[in-house]
Amino acid sequence: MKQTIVGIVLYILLWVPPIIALVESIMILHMLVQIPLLMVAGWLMGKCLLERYPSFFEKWNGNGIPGILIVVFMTMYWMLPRAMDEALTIWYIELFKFVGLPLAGLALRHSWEKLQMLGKSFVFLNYISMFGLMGWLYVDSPIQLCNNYLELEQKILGWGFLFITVGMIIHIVQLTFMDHSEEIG
Amino acid sequence: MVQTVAWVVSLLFILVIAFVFSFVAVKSTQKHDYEPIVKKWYKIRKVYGTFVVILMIAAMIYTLRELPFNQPVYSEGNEPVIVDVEAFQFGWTISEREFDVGQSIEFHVTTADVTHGFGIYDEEMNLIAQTQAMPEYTNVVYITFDKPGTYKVLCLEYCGLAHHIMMDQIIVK
Amino acid sequence: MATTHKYMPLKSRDDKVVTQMIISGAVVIVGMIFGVLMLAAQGGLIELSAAGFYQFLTIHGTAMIGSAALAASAIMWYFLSHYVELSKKVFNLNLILFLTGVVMTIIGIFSFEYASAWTFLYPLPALSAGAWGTTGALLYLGGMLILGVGFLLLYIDTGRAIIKKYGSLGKGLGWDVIAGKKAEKDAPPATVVASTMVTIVNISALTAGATVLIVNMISVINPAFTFNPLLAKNLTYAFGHIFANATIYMAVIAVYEILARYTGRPWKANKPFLIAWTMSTLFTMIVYPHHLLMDSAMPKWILILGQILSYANGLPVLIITAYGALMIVYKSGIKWDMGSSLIFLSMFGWTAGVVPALVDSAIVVNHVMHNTKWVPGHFHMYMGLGVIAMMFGFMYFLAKNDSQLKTNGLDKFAFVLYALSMFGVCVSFLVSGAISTPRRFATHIPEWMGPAQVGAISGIFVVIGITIFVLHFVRYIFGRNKKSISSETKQVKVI
Repeated sequence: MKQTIVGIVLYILLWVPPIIALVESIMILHMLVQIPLLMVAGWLMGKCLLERYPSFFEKWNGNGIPGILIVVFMTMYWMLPRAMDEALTIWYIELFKFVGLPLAGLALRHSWEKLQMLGKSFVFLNYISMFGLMGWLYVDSPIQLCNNYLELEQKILGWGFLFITVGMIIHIVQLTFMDHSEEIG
Repeated sequence: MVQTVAWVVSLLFILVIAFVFSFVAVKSTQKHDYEPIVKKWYKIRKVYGTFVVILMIAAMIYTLRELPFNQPVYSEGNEPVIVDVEAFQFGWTISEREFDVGQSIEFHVTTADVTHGFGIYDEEMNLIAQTQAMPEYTNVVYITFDKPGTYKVLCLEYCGLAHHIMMDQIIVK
Repeated sequence: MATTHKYMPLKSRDDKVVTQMIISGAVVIVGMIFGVLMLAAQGGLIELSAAGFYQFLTIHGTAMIGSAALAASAIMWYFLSHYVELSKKVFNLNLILFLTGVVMTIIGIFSFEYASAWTFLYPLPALSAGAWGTTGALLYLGGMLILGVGFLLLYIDTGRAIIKKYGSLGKGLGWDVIAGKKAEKDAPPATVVASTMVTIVNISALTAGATVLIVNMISVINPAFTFNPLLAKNLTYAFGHIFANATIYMAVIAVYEILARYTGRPWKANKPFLIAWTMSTLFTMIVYPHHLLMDSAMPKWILILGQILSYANGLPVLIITAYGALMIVYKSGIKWDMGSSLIFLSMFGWTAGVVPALVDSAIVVNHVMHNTKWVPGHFHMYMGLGVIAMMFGFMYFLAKNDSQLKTNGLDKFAFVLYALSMFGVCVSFLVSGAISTPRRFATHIPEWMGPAQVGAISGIFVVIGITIFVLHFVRYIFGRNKKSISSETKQVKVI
């Protein structure tokens, strides 16, 4: 229950207009703080839903694959420069962000428990190449990709993505080179 | 010529390797205990390994002394001719096509579309220098022609269906 | 042979592996036929349109790399599954994805005239000067992506299984033995070491490959999105070099396992062996800049390092692997048959194939030999006499191990034919390179035609030889199916 409350509080905080105004005015905060936090809020709030309706989730997401596909498509959509732009100017896209991403967080939570080692590794490696690619696109783009954000902000965001990519690579290297006898199933 | 040396050296080493493999194959029908063979061959390996490493280091030092992408030191009054080369599908824009023997030349090579390769062939159709023509980048070929004649420019990176007919020429007097 | 009891008995019947080998064999033949047609066109022996030639070029490269990787991964899987617990599901999934990917690339190439060569160097897929359109490019790139996904899943599974059994990838490479924490006799078997190496390098390669494939797809869909072409080139060659190179590191497992059994001599994973494989792991991943030696826009130190690493990368094979193969065969009283002969030949192909690569990796040589036919000369020896010989050596070994089928004079004839004619193909390429013939040219000037003709004719003999190899394997499959299937799980000792 505690987790759910934390999730709700986080979600409400993210709705506070001055906070929205602040994080959405800076590109890197928008992409790499607000969007992930919305998913985190969904993940946390999801705990009680998953406990209350296990059969529903079991029926739709028994092996975790439908759920993770939702997550992948949702995150891919929100990594596009255009999606961020439209969230600022079109109210229903903004609403979609605030409703869709928590749901993706929920789906992630359910799927991550269900997915086997193979699926998890595959998704993780996929995000390494996706984040790397987005970093490259944002750093390298000679033109302004968003109407609402300047080229410099774009570059900062790109470096943010590359930073995450490097972190993920370091993570997987230490994970696979540290001793894990009998841990992995 | 570099190509001839490369070919002879490669052929020589390949033949040596072929000889060693044949020798072992011929000897394979005899049957001896493995232990003494291991001992003896490990000893030989030390010598052989050291030899290979030294050979490689020597080859490395020898071949790395002068690199084609180092700008030569030009003497005063002997400033190089700078030639802009732009490749496109499927042809070349070359800012200057006539040169003198002994003249220092720098080809600054880039491309308007996809990656091409800028290869200079002499009259006997031997490749004498090349660089890649990269979008957004400029690669440089430093060259001084020492023989007069008509030199061909060929594309050396696959660039589409007319890649093989993307030829041009320059004249050295 | 008295000492064979030391080796673990091998599963006699592995239908998944057999299926994958025969598919690879068939793809190799098809790929070779396209190769012969290209050489014949270059030699002026047949007429081929430029579009046709470059489509053949694209399918030839894709088919050869694809089938080499498929066969080599089946070899690796077959032997590795005796040491660790691998997922059969993932193995089958890889084959399904492979076939799906191949069908997509074929449709892209032949129905939509896509012809970027298998290296799909950005931004060529998007800018074809009107030769092919979006659909063809997306089919081809998408097919490659699906193919890559299959292999990625396979290597995640091998990585998982190795970590589960040995604790970490580092231990799979025997780092604790190198560090002296563990005795040499407890070192992981050669098969596990090689599989760990391939798992590491190929997961890295495929991740880089996926990135650059998506870059190309984005630029095909919307050319307004541009990427740094030099970075794209780096990623492309990182992927292409590692993935192609790794085929031999998988297939060499057949050499370790089969030669040791034939000679009754153990192939021990001792310290020098482990160090050599760790070196190969590292060098294979970072040696690719030798494909960019003619890009002076690259930082100079990377290019110089490209040459140095290329030399260093030759050491493990020259001093450890090839030497080990010679040592194990020398005065062993080995009874030569098709399997062992091909395996032994493959080590010659690998070692000899290293030579032209080392020569060409010197920057001064590369300056006049890069992108000439010298380069295919190198990798036709390396792959054609190396990987392919390992692959068919393994197939003969399987057939012998699992059935009463005898090889006959025709097989021996095919061996001699293949060995000599494949060597002929390689030499014809090297000679072409030495006389400055550019690679990937639809037509040749008369001076360049001679070696191409020799190559084309040799190529025909290679196809005949390989077809006889494949026929033997087909006979084995049919003969086997006639017998009872009840022995499915039977385990037999080899030889």
